[in-house]
Amino acid sequence: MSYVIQTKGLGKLFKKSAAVDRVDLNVEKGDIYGFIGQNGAGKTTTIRMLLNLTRPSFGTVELFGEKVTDSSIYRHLKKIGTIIETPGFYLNLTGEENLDIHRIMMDIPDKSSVDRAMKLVGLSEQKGKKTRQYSLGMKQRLGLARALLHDPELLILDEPTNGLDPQGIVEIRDMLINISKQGKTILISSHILAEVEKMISRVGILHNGKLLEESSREVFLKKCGHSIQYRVSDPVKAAGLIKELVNQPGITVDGDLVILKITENDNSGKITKLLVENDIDVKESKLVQASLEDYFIKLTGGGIHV
Amino acid sequence: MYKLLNLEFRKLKGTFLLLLVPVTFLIPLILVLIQHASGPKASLPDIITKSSVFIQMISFACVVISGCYIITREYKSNMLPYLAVTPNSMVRVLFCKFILLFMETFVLQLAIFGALFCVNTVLDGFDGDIAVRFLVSGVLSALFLGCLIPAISFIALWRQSFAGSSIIFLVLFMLTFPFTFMSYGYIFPHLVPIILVSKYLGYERYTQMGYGPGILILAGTFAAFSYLSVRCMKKKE
Repeated sequence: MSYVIQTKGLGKLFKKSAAVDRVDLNVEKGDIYGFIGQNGAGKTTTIRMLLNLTRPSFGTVELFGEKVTDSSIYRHLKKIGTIIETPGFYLNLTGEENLDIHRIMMDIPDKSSVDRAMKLVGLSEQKGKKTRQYSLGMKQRLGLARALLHDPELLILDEPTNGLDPQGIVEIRDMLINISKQGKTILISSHILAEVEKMISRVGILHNGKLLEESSREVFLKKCGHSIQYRVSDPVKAAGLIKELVNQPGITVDGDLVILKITENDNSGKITKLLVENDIDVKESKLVQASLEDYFIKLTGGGIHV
Repeated sequence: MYKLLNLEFRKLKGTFLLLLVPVTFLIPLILVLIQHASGPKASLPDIITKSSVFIQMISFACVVISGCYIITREYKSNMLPYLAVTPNSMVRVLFCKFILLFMETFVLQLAIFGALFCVNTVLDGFDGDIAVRFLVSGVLSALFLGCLIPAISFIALWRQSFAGSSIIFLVLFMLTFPFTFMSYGYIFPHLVPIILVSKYLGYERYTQMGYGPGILILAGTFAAFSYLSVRCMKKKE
């Protein structure tokens, strides 16, 4: 397996408390890896350690199969594009000038790369405007343009959709999916699950500095599971009847809904027949796929922004 | 290195430093001309000698403000991580900032003393001795102020704030300024440029004082704070 990012027992102590606690990340080539966690879970600290901006208290980081050290990091940085926390710019300079400074810092001889990057994020019209006059959303786009400027193999994006409007979020999502199709690897951290759920191929859930789970999206969705919801006239009676029939836990009543977690045995036909035979009106029955967000809340005990 | 230095110059576009430097250049000139026009009859070189402490104070303030701004602007605009993720050593970036500040200090000091010489030539005619004296004064002033740049840089890196670090220096200066007129005033490194340049210009209070201790203190300050600044820049938290 070729890992673009791999950490082994990575951790960071701040005043003896672990902000990141023995995290083993495995990001494969071509992944769009969703690095999910609440605010303060340790996502940014982990990203800073990946980029050698913060020294780990313990554990190791490997990028492109090579252990990161103070000297080896310079070889890798040319292959990495990043957004770290809020994108910073020289506010006295225009968007174009800011990107040009980054172009020179990254040793990119091709001056047209600046125009291309600005066009890619839809900022061509704003390139002559000072970044002081940019909105937060425009700054995020410009940050993304800077990350993409040198056509990196790996993108590490810390909350890249902060401050973007819904249309902007969709555009960025589509852009990242397209970039991933070119064989590039993307690690995207977010506390807004709904934004990343649709694009990621792999997920790592970080909570209180610990990586609770890491798996492919498909495995996660399987774990999330399905349920059937019955909207009925007498939910309490219906729940009792269903319980007798299927003899399984996980039947809940919520208002006029009876929610049944699906197991391998599909009893939906029998259940509907049973309810009708017992004079219970079945107004609606539908299959519901639990989202990553539901799973996250279950796993961490709640408290996530949506 | 040249590439990074060039970028440091480009980053100055549209900043207040483009106003601060000309103002710092004009203030001593205006002050000397006012004194020449309104005071009792005295030659321009004498007025300049008597105003040398003030001229150096203004220059010091300019170096402090420029230095704190240039060193801390990446902190203020959250640009530091973006500098650190480019394949350039942060120590080289810091040295480029030092060089930029040295260049600014040199140009400013040579411009101030050059302009004073021109004014003197217009008023009193050309005098080769005064030309040499002012040229050497400008060079010495630039060298001595340049030795303080690492100290300014260290305080700025430590505080990570333009206002915070500038205030520390200006308060420190105000509290220690009275020592400028004492025989052991050179124990405060930031007062050494004032004392030694004034001495060179013939300020009578410093005629008995040697150059050696002051230069040693400045050299020590330069070396110690260069080391501390590099350490501070390399620090990762």
